Amino acid sequence: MITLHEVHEQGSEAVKAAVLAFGASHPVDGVEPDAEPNWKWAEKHFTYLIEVIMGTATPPQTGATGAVRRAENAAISFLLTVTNLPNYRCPICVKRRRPLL
Amino acid sequence: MDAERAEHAARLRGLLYLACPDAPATAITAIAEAITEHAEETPQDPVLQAAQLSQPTYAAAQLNLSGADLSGADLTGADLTDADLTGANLAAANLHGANLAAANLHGANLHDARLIDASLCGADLTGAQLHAARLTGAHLHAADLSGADLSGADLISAKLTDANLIRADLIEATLIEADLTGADLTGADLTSANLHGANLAGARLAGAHLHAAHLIGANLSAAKLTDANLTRANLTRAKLSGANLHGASLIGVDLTGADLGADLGADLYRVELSGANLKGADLTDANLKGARFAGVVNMRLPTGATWDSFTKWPDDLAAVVAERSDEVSPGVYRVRGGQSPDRSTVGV
Repeated sequence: MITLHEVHEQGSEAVKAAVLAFGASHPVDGVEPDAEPNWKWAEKHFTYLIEVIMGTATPPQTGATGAVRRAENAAISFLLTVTNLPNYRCPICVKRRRPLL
Repeated sequence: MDAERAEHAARLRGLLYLACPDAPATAITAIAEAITEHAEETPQDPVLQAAQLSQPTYAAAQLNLSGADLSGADLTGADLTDADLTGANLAAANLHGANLAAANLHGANLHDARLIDASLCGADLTGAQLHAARLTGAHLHAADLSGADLSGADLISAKLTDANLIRADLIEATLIEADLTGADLTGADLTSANLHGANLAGARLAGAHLHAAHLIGANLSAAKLTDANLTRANLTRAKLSGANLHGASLIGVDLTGADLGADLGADLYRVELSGANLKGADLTDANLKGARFAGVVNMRLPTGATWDSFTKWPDDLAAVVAERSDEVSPGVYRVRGGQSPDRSTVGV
């Protein structure tokens, strides 16, 4: 599955900005908005985001590559969509059951 | 592919709602559709519809969260009035104080969800999974819960007035002090449910399964309990005046101090009460035609009650009843007393 780091490396300027904004919404101390991004946390939540879109953490056996790629692209589109909104919330953070790092 | 696209769109609607709950409902739907439509290409820019997110919200548009994955989400106090949540996954979500009035939750998964003090008035919860959900103090007036799985759910002090609970699964549910006035529980399964102090006045419970249910102090006045299974239920101090118990099974029930006739005699026509404890139970003016009291304990003379040749009295009471009754119509007898001042309390 593609990582947030790879998305940043391969993406356009808009994609890079969206990745940085997503990282910024996961500050190190979990509270202070100006703190350094917790990239480990952000990476984990990006993976969860793809899994939620896919509906499973395990890709389907048939057509797995295509299904994963479409879910990854949808996740990137999601980041691009919400990035310019002030105070948008990481939906995975809103899901209580997801463990905080 | 179409099925996958629809599923991805549903999950994206949920994610977009969680990310920006104040966004216009139409924008969320349009963006989710656009994202899934272009999912084959690696995106470099936002979809055109993304601009709609920052537009002002106008009322009226129905929020479409059907099939969305909102499991475990913190949706405390969320306004989901009239939202389409059919088939949504809300398992273990926190919806404390949320407004879900008139929402469509048909087939939704609310397993272990927290719905404390939530408003679900008029909501469609048909076939919803609410096992072990916490609905303490929730408002469910006129909600449609027919066929819903509420087994083990916490419904303490919930308002379920006029709710549709036909064939609902309420096994081991906790309904202490719940208000079920006028609710339709026809064919519902309330086995071992705790209805201590619940108000079931006028409720329809025909054919309901109430085996071993706790109905201590419950108000069942004028309730329809025809053919209900109340075996081994605890009806201590329950109010059953005016209740219709035609054909119900009350084998082994505890009716200690129950009121079956103080205001309006209960209808116990052809009711099976063998082995029941009737200590202090008031059967004044009750219809006991065809009722079977074989093996009951602590029964006192039911003044004003009507009975017939099919009524099976406990051995030690049969002679006293015959002696103190008058034939009021061919084959129908009435125990003297009742609403008249002469209220016999002869114990046997």
